[in-house]
Amino acid sequence: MAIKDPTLPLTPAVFHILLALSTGEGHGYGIMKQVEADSQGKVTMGPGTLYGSLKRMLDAGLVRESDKRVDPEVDDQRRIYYQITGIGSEALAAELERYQRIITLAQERKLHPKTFAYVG
Amino acid sequence: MVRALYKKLLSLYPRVYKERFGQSIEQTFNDLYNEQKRQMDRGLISLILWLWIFLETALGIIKEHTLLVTEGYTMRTIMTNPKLAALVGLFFIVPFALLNAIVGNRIEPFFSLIRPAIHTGPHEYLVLFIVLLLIPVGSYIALQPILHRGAEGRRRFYPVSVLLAAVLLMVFVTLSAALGSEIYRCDVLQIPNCD
Repeated sequence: MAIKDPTLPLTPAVFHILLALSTGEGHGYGIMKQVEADSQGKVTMGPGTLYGSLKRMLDAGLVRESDKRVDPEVDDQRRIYYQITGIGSEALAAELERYQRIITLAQERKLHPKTFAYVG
Repeated sequence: MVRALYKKLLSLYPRVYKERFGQSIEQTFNDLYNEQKRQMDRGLISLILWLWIFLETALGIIKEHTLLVTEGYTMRTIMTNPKLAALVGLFFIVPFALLNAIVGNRIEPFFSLIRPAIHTGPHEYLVLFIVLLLIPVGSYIALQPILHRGAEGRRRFYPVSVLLAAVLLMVFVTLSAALGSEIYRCDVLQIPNCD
């Protein structure tokens, strides 16, 4: 299944996985840790959500399986690595652009990011 | 023990999903397990974390099974499995049997919904027509494993599919003829005490 429109909004899980993979390819546990680090511990993803999202992302062509190899930092088991594709990068860029537009809009309306109070 | 339990839980994933991701999920779980072992002092937090991972995975299992149904996997299975197709095809006779039981035994409140007036009305005919038409639909579904070409591009013959499809068609023709004749005599010709 190819993704119909990479500019469509992404689910939070897909967005965070793409963001994690934008720094380089990674295996399941590595992606989980990267998501946790990227969100300063605010987003925690379990194996159920992670692999469910990866399956749909693979089917949509947002990520691809890279080779199976050992991560010496974890153990000596061979693991499947995932990497972001061109469509995946496009989808991530579109999502970031959407966020950017929202921030610009919030600034125009003088909305304070922390308290969400009107500062005017 | 936690790892053995999790492995058992993973066996509940749909087969195709399990074959594709089962090993990776288990590896990721083991990585989390080893991480927790390195932080032994976290007692209660650790317990909550395991409960959360088990719950999260269980929800993932339910989601994958639901997606299989909604993405049409069940229909593809019916098209290739003659016994399942026969069972599903047979199920299409149930609405007629139910309608017959309701009308025949005047089971309320369903009977009044089907026949609001004293005599058979257009509403009842419509319901009857729909449930009757479901029978040839069941016959068509029972035939699916024969009509559908397999992965090698060939059709296969399954006696159970043909037999059930033929029986359902015969039931449909017989019932249509009998009911059609009764409706014609009672409602068109309006012969008294024609039932």
